[in-house]
Amino acid sequence: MVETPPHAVDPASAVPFHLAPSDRIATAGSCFAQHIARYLPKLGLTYYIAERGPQRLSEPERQERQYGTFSARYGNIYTTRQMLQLLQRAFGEFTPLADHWEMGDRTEGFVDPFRPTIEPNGFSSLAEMHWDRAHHLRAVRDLVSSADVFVFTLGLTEGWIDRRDDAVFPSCPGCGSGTYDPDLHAFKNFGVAEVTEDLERACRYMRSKNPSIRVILTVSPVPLVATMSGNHVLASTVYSKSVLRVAAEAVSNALDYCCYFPSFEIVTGPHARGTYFRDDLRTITDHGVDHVMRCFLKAFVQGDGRREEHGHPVVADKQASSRPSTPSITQIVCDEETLANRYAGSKTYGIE
Amino acid sequence: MKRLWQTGTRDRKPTGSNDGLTIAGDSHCLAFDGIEIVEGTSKTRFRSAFCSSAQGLGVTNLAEGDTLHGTTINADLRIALDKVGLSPISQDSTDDSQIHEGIRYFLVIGGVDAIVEATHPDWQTYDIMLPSMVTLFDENRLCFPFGLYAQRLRHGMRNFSAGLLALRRQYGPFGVLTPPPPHADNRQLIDHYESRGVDALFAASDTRWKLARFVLDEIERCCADLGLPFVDTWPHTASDRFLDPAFEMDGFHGNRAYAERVGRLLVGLLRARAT
Repeated sequence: MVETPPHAVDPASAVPFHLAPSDRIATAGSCFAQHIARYLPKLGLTYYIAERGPQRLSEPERQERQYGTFSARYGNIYTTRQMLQLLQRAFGEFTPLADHWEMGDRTEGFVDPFRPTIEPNGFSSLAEMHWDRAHHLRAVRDLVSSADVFVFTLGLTEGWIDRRDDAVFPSCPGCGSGTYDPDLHAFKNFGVAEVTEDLERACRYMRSKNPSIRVILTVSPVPLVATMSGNHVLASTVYSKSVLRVAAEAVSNALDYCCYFPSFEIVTGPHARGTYFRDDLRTITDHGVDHVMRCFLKAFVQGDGRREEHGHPVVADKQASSRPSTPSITQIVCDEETLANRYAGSKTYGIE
Repeated sequence: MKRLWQTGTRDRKPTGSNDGLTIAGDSHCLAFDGIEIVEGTSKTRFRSAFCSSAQGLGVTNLAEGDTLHGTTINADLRIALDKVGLSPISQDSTDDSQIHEGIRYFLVIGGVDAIVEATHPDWQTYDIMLPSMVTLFDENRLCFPFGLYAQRLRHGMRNFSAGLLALRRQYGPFGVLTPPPPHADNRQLIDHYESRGVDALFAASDTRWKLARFVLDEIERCCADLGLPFVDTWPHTASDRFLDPAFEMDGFHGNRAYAERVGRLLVGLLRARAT
């Protein structure tokens, strides 16, 4: 590996299946998954969106409301337990006791606790929030039932749960919306056994609803911005990513319709020498995302006949080759960054 | 919020007794032209000052600019006011408390905005939930986020309050009058526009009603903030939320009977304020 140019390092192994341009590819997961979602069309692949929103939304309005950020409007899904519970909720097998939160910051509005950032100022009425939730879960059912491939980016092991029913929230109650109540809410750092079991259950669940679905697992290379574990954030990051990596390996070994793709290794491996992180030591550079997706294309798109030249991404879409190689980093929605900026008085997403 | 007389200026006598009362604004003002309201020995003749701009007068184009001294009132509205003899009271006045003889005119506005909104293709698929009446919702349609609709409307109305202030400063105290409630029948509305060469699909009647109601609620809020009288004709001219069939004309406007009903309402309000 030391003799291979850094941009040419490709740690992807042989994969058990390939992707056709007509395959409907769904995405979910943490912030890094948004890069994958946006890159798929540039690779000539079909990014499946089951929840599109009103036609008249401008692009900024669409992004602000996270239409198209993932395949359905579920927002970031950080933990495997969160993914499993989303599936259970979509198919009517789990109804969390936490129904709604209220917006903080003196803003009136109602928030879905499991999608706290998808409506910028909250829903104007509870009825509207309930309608939207029902519509969203219907879209998730449709998505799982009809997707050909599901790409799940594992992000965290830390989360916040409702003590009453172990429902997992994507962010801490009271941060931006809702109210933290120590009698109701608890911090949870999932262990390797829990994460592995949840992940396998989620994959099997999807397969039970859609016998032909294939799953690609990948671990987000984005480090934690903060931790409630009591440890240093670097130690917590390594713990979380290690647990997620082990779980992804175990599940992809156990299920023949499941495979692992090494996004984490491409970005964080020694060959990169840290150059795929921006100055904040969290945001992945354009070159880092390019490298990941280059390897993704090579691994999964069979018979494209293209060769990598000069380290530039090879894309299926000729128009895309003249565009910037990745979407603007500022357009990536990361709840952790959002909350940090909110408390700092800024309301912009991203880091710039 | 009281939809009653709320002028911030001192009245000497109400305009309208043995005098004319001007209804200015969008095409809904035309029904008032020439009607006379006689009560006892008092006779009030109405006249219209129709703002005939190409896109219609609405909350988004009442004015340009957003400062009291930098606001330009819609030129077509100024022409309409001048045409009926409502000249600017003082070209250089900046004193909002200048006393005039009661209310000089009413501005009818808000009808164009709602009807244009109702023609957007999204409303063939979507309905909207007003926070104040969430049960009025078509479950067979998708739900357009109310917050987004409100945000867009308020953005479009960003110069509206400044326009109201500029109108008062330049043309004297006035009241704001709502257009009539929507017609219940989409077919009549479609026919009305087709007869004018406009091929349009309209939102369902309940959706149109909600879109229009929210525009008026926003207008009312602006008027309340500025101490401007706001007269809501809907409670007086609706039947089961929509325009009473007795007041219908062409699927969009009220007829003369509508104007006479509203005229009596305005005369009564003026008299109550004067006494």
